[in-house]
Amino acid sequence: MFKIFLRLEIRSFINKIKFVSWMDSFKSSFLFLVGFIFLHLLYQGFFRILVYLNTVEIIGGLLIIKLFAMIMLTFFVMLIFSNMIISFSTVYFSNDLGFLVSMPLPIKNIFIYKFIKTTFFSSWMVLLIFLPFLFAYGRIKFAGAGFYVSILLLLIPFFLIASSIGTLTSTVFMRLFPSQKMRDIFIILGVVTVGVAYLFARFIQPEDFLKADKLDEVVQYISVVQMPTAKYLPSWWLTSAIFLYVSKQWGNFLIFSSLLIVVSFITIIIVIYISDKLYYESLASSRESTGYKFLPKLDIKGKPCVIGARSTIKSRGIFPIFVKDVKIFFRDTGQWSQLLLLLALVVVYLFNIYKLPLDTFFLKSLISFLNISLAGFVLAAVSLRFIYPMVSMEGKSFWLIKAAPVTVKKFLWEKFSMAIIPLAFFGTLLIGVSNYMLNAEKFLSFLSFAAIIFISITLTAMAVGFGALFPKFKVENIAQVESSVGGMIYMIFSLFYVFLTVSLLAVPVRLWFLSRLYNKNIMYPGIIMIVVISLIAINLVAVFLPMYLGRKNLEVLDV
Amino acid sequence: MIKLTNLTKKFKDKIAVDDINLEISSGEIFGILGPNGAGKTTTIKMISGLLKPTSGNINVCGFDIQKHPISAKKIIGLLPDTPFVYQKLTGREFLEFICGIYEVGCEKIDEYLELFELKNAADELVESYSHGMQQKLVLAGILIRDPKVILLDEPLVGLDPKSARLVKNIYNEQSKKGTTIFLSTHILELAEKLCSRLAIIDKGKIIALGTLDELKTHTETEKNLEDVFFRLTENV
Repeated sequence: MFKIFLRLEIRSFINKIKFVSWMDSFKSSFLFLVGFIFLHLLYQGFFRILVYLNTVEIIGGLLIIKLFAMIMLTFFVMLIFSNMIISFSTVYFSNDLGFLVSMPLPIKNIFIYKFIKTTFFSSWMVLLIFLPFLFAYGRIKFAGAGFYVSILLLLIPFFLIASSIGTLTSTVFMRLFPSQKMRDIFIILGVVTVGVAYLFARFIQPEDFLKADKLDEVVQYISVVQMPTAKYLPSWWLTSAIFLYVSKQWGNFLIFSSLLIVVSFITIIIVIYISDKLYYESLASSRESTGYKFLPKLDIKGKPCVIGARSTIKSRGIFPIFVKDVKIFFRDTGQWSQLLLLLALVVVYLFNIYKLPLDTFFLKSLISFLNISLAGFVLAAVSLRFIYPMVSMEGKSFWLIKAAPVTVKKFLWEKFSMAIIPLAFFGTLLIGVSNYMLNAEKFLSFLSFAAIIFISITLTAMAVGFGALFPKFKVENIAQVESSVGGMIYMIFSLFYVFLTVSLLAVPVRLWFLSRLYNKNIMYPGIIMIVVISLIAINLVAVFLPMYLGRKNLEVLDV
Repeated sequence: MIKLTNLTKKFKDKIAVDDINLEISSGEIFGILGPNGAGKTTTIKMISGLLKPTSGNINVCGFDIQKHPISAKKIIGLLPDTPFVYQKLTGREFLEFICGIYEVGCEKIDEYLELFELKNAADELVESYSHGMQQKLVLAGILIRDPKVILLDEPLVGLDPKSARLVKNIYNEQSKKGTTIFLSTHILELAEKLCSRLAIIDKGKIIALGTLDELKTHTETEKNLEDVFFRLTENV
């Protein structure tokens, strides 16, 4: 039975590669290259940190363990939530379920098949990001092939435990609240929980472990660092296994490895047992319920024809698409959950700024300047989540736009005009509040405001353009759009753009700082002019090139 | 009204539509028949501008769909076989959206909602509509703007018998008003009763073209469209 499913997946994968177009293979090769570079940089960065920590006497080794434990704990929490959210799509709402259930297959087998898929989809990215950490550590400890093989094998039960917990939660929840709309509420609740957890983690400031001066005695500090991080969780067991293998404590290594394996078996048995009792009922009920039970609907009845031509605002071309997009955005609960996460992110961001020790002019100016890049990176992440998928969000209804008398150019600029104001507002809010908290100098305040508005405009255009260049109209959920090849390419380019902009801005900031320091004007107009021209050129290219390429792609795209 | 000249569409090495030439005049209901994968949907998608032809020309009411897509699209109404519409809009909002994008008044929205028995569900989200209701909603969105050319891909799929009869009558009325209707269907009975002229397409090529009587003559012995269809497609 599972052999057939496995064959199906392998066959689908092979066909995907076999029938890939020249353009797609180019895109994929590019992604592999960029992905490899990214992982390599991660590896190099982590390797340097580990080399440094390894040289710190007495506590160096302990800090490495602590770092690993915290990383693994983060991975574990991420895996549980990602399994929980993905399992809704794969286990309860995937397109092929109707077909599978209609076949003479035991429902338990369908569940297991979907459970395996969920585990795979949720884990592969974590695995990729984990590899640089593992290899960096293996290198500083001169570990052999056996180390890598053992740890990679132990990752399987680690992933399965997280997957079991996530899938079990969604299964129980679906049985209790079978309505399709409850899934949306649950996603909101889930994201709120993550947000709260993240906030909590920020407020307790785990980085205190790395600040010895906050504790009175060295012994006390060592004891804090030595404490296991969540010792009853698999993340700690895996961390321990990694370090026990390297220190050749085979007995303890076997204990922790066995613990991982046994617990993974137990959780899988539990999840299969419970799903055997609940899955069919939940699946059937989830298809019966429609309508919003708890979520408010937008009141649109009082405003007939806001979308249409009878509107007081004369509708010309793109305005109806604009109104349609606004309505759909606020009715899509998936977006709400992301907005909550965004809110949590803003609070964490501003809280960190608030907590920074800014005693000197240099430090204050440095942080005010670095704040631009940080806000830029946050905007890049926000634009990836909200703006990049805008074209793809047209989904299977894109035929309506293609068949309508609207040019692709207008369509894309409509997306741009819808996104620019919220993003620019968000950016200026971040900069404004943080500048106020930092009590930033006038020059830096002005510069950061101007920069963030330019960055917002350019990132919006880039996100829309890249979204049109790599559209995905047939995805089941928005997460598949942002985590796609195009999403990653956009992220890399947007981060590069922010980096480039901030690097150029560093030139006048340095001159300004030296002017203040030596109390004489060394703001050379020639240099400032070169920087300004370079910035304008970069922004023009970054705005119009992706928009042009995206337009060309959509114009020739077969729908 | 619609003129296809040497129309060809290739998907990589596969030829979906192979050098089609057709001319359909104003007020005509033209049916295109053929087995699965014959190239019917591809042809309709090319006429509506959803697909770009590999070669050849499409002229709709004097507008080349490739050179003047906006002008051509303003006068074309398309009903695809699976008409996906925005699930998070209500039926009424969808029609308002269509009116806005095609720049026509919204006055007739209620009239069409009534006609297609969608009035009660007008303020519900489209996601709660059945396939047939969504089909009718898209059709209402086409008729509300009074296009000169209507392209229908499997127009009766998902409709209940009452709605099917209703839309057949509507197509006839539209045709009398001078609207050109180009439809593809598997339902031979529909083609037989509704279409003034037919083309049978197989493997991307038109293998027969004419009125029903002409097609019958073409195959000499056959009595109805079904026999003609099987005779012609089996011979290819």
